[in-house]
Amino acid sequence: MPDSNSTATKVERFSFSWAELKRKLPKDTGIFLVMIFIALVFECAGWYLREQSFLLNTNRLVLIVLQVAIIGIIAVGVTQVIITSGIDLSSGSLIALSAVVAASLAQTADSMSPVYPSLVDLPAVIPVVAGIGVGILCGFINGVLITRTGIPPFIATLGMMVSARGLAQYYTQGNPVSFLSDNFTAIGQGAMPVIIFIVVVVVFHIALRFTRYGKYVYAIGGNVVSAQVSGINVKKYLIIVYTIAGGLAGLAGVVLAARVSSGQSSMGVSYELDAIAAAVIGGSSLMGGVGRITGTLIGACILGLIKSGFTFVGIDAYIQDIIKGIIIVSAVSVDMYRNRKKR
Amino acid sequence: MKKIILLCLALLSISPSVFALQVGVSIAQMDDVFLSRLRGYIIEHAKQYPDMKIQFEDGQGAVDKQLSQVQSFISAKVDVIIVNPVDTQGTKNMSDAARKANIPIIYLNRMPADSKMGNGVSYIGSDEVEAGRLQMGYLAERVKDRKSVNVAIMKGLLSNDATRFRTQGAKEVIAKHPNMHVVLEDTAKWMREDGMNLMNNWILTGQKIDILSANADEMAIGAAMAIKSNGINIGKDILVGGTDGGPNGLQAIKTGMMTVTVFQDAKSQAFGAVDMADKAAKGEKLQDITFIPFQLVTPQNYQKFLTN
Repeated sequence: MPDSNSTATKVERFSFSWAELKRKLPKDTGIFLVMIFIALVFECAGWYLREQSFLLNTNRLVLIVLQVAIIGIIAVGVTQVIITSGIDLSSGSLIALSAVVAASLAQTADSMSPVYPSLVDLPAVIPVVAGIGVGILCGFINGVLITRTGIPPFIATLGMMVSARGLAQYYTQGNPVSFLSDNFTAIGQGAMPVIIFIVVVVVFHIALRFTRYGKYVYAIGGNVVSAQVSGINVKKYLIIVYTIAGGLAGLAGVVLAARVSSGQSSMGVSYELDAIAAAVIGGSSLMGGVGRITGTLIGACILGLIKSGFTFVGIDAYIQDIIKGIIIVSAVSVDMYRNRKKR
Repeated sequence: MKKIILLCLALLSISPSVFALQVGVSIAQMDDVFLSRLRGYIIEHAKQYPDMKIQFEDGQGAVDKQLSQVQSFISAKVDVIIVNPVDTQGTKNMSDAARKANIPIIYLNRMPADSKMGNGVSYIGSDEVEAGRLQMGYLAERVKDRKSVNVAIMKGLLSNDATRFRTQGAKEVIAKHPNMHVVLEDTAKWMREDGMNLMNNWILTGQKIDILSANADEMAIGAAMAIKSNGINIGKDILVGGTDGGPNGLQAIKTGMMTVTVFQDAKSQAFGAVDMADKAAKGEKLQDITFIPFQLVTPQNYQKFLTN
């Protein structure tokens, strides 16, 4: 009997520390492992098909994140919206609107047909502030619409999505706004978009985890009635969340216009879906109350990995989107399964 | 009082249509860089016909939306319909509806594949295959003395005919030159940023690329920006070809970012369509198919296209 007792305690101790270990690991470990897995799949495929390493190439690693930096910036804003159990469909259109507004104020004197012939060669800070400002304004409008009129976020941001794009098209009459000054485009050259993305991630990760704003955002997402009853000004914080999302979309539009040296009303189409995918892959729940900026960062990296990986391996363009959809659903399923087991 | 108001309203609604020539225009995608120029030229030339009133609709890249727009033009009893089809294989319903209503329909810029021309249906535009042939023909001539030439083709949206036909034209020329091979082929969806990302990915694979042939200037410009940022010399180490010859493209030829492009004469196409619309509304018979030729744009002759 003493023997079976000691065996029983040994088993207990073993299972106790395994559970404790799981609890001690950061929440994003699951999706981080998924990302490593996908990277390794492409690495193996790379050796098999091209006899070349996929990952051991600094330029490619930078490119993987560079490709999704713009989407990543809006994803940070969208994550916060999703945590409040809302949604923002207008990000892509706001990118277009802020890109064309910023570009129209960043043109040089030798532009072929400048939007504002008298406002050429302006200092770069003006188009940057204008672009971000447009985003902030539209995000604010989203927030006010949702909190004052009770329109569901889906509908309100859908309306903004359609109107903002229409406004961008009207503003440019469909023509691209090009010939941008070097001062302005410097923001988008080389690895700058990646740096801006990382800075945005750090700032909002800190904001969500360590500030009162962050606590309230999670509270509102967890249970809006409890939040209201505990004295949180739900309306005020929702407006702030949507304004931030709009402002980040504005920033993304400015960086995009700088990167490609052109502002076009057709930019950013479907970017909001990629941003939502990055947030959801990263662990944000569309039900609200759950989500982390670090998870979104990993989600965005997974999207970038897929993009570069497919081109590297040489997968037919037609097949790429099919597989991308499967990967998105699988990544989220794996993560949800892991979370369910934990509960 | 009410009757007088109703009478005035009725008169007001009738009078414009008695005096004006109503033209309904459906553009496949109004924020496409090329199509927006086309639209601009239509508006410009319509001013020559003071009694012509044009209503624009944006197909937004959706075949069903465009069909609905054509149907509402028909029920509004316009005199002529001009359609820039979203899908050249989705025009049959529009042609049939227009024929049934006895309204002349003019297809612009994209040749319908499933409608027969004639009997009220006509086409004005350019032959996209020719664009591919012209671009690759010039590039092939530049490299004819080289032993082995690697070509990468950057395509537009896979669902557009321009993508298929321009690529087809380019490949026809490549097939005639045994020293040229297509080593890479993918889509950058007509967008500059996608062209940049795709070119960066291609360069990183280590594959030697001698010619970058893009279905459109915007993608070629994005690719050229990626090529430059990797320190590769355009014109020496790699030749870059685009298509369309718009202001951005011409500027790229001027600065040496692109080696060649093909000018798509949006002005002649648009002006031609407006002229045809006026003729058709007045009951004249139209030529079934009118092709506006593409023109090769090189560093030597790009100036003459700048004034356009």
